[in-house]
Amino acid sequence: MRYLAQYTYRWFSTLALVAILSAGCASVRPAATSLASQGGTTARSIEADFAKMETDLGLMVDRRIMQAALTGRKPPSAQALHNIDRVRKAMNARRKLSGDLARLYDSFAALAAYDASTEVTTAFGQVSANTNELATALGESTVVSSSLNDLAGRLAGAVATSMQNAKLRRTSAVIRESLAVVRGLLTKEAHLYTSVRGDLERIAGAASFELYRSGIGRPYPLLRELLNDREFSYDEKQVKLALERGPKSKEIQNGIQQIINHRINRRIELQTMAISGFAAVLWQLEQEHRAFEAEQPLDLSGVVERLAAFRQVVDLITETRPELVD
Amino acid sequence: MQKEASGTPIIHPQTQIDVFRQIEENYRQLDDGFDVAYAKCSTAKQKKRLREILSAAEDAYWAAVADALADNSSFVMEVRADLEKKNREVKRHLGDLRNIAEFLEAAAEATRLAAALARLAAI
Repeated sequence: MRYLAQYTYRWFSTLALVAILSAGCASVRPAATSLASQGGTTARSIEADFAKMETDLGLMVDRRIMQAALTGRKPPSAQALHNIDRVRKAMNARRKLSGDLARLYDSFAALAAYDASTEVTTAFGQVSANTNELATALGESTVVSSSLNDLAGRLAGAVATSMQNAKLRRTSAVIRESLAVVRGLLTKEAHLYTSVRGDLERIAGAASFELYRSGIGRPYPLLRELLNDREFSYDEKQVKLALERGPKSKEIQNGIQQIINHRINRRIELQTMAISGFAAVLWQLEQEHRAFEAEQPLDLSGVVERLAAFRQVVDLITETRPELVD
Repeated sequence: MQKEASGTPIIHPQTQIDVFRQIEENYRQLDDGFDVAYAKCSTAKQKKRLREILSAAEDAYWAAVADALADNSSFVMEVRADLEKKNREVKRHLGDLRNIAEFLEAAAEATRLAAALARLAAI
C-alpha cells in the first residue's frame, strides 16, 4: 500500500511537472521568425541604399567630367578624385556593415526556424524505443511503460523549447544592442549622406541638361507626362518641330530647365526623408526587440509601415528623375 | 579650449556640422552660379580665376566629406568585427541546440547497436 502511494505520488508529480513546463514553455519561435524577417528586410534595404550610393558616385565622376567639358568648369582635380574615392570606400564599408546586420538576422531566423522541441522529442522517443528493444533482447521485461515514455518525451521537448526560448531572447538582446549602435552611426552621419546624395542628384540633372542643350537626348518622356492625354494626343514629330522651330521653342526649353531644377530639389528633400526613415525603422525595430525579450506581444505594423513609407520615398525619387535622354 | 590626450582640440559635433555646412554651401553656391558668372567674365584671366575658385571649393567639399566619414572608419570596422563575432555566437547557439538532438541520436544509435549485439549473443 505504501509503495502504491509512493508510486502514485511520483506519477502525479511527473504529470504536474510536465504540465507546468508545457504551459510555461510556449515556443517564441513564431514571434522570433517575424522579427527576424522584418529586421532582415530593413538591414537589406539599408544595404541596397548604400550600394546605390556607391555605384552613383562612380557615375557622378563621369558626369562631372562631361559637365566640365561642356560648361567651362575644370574637371575634378586629382585631389577631388582621391577624396571621392575615399567617400566611395566609406559607403562600401557602411554597405558591408548593413550586410553584416542582415546576416546576423539570418542567423537569428535560422535559430528560430529550428524546431528543437520536435527534434529532441523524436530523438528521445527513439532512445526509449531502443532501450526497450535492448531490454527485450536481453530477455528482460519492458523497462519503461509507454505512457511514462510519452510523458518523458514531452518533458524533454518542453526543456528543449525552454532552452531555445532563452537563446532566442538572448540573441534578440544582442541584436538590439547592435541596432542602437548602427542607428547612432546613421544618425551621426545623416547630414553627410544627404549632402552627397544632393550632389549626386544635382550633377546628374545638370549633366543631363548640358547634354540635352548640346543636342543629345530628347525631353519626350517629360513632355508626354505633362500633356493631359484625355484631351490631347501626343505626337512626337510635332514635339520635335515645336522644340526646334516652334514659336515658343525658347520658352519650352526654359520651362524644361525649371521643371528639372524643381524635380532635383524635390528628390533632395525625399532623399533626406529616406535617410531619416532608416533611423526611424531601426528605432521601431529596437522597440519590437524589447517587447519580444519582455515576452510581450509584438506589433510589427510600425516597422512594416515605416519600411513601406521608405519604399514609397524610393519610388517617388525614381519617378521624379529627369527623363531627358530618350 | 578643451583638448584630447593627444593634444588635438576637441571640436563639438554641432560645430563640426556647422563648419561642414559652410563648406557645402560655398561649393553649391559657386557651382549653381557658375554658368551666369562665367558668361559675365570678360577676360580669359577672370574665367581662369572663376574656374580655379570653383575647383578649390569642390576640392574642399569632397575633402570635408571624406574626412568626416574617415573619422568614423575605425568605429565602423569595430562594429563590423563585433557583428561578425555576434553572428558566430548565434550560430553556436544553434549548434548547441542541434547538439542536444545529436547527442540523443548518438545514444539511440549506440543502443540500437547494443540491441543487435545482444540478439546475436542470444542466438
